[in-house]
Amino acid sequence: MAKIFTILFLILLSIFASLFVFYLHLDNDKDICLDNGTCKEGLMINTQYGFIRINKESCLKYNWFWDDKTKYCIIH
Amino acid sequence: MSSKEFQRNEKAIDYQMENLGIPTNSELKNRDDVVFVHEYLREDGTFVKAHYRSKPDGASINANLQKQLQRTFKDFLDAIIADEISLNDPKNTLFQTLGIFLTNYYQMQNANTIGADKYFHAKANLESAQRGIVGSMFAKIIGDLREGTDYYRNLNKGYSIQESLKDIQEDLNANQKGRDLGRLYPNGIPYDLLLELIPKGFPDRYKKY
Repeated sequence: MAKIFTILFLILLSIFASLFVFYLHLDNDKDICLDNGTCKEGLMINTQYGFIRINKESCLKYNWFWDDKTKYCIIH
Repeated sequence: MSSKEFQRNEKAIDYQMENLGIPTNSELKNRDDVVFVHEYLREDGTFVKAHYRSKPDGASINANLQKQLQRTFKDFLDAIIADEISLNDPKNTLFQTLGIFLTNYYQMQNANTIGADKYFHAKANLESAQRGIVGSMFAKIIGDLREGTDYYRNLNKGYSIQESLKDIQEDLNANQKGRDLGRLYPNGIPYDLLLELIPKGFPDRYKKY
């Protein structure tokens, strides 16, 4: 039984170690956008107003916050 | 009843007299499930004639209560069976849970909708918890680890600690809600149970999924 749980623990650990590296280094912009609403310029995202391409104009048009320095639109 | 009304309802009256019979006032007075309503005038000026109607607190409520109790008992039994299965084969439950999380992650990416992440977070946890106590436990581990990575990812993106914690707290709440509902309703349809988490503009193809 202890052996099984050790194997399970190692499987989980390896999966999340990979995910951790994936998040920190590969920088998945779409995932961040869907998860917390911080969307990079150029992304196509479905919102309550329909599909929009993220850019300064569309971001300000819907009263979201546009960060000119990082080129991110913060959607709430 | 006027002759016109009688002509209009004659067939139905004949049918009832032949097949069901028409109860008399004294017969109806002794019944618990029927109540006599005196004639009255509605607020909009419509005149309502005196009639009999079924009692709201009569047999129909008892029947509904009985159905609800049966459903609750069935859910309780199904939850115990799911617990038993998941405890007997934790490895299989782990793979099922991982499959559920990956499927929901893929669906979230595919739905591509702002605000839908809470729904998919809760749905993955709900579906895992429906696979028993071990499924619920694995879902908590996977969910917490994922939020742990999100915390560092947010910090890496320039979020403050408070902002990052607020973001992951909302996701953790959605996870917990999903697990609670999954344990309570082992046969429930995730979409119906999580309607309040559906954002505006959510694609139709994921509704009732």
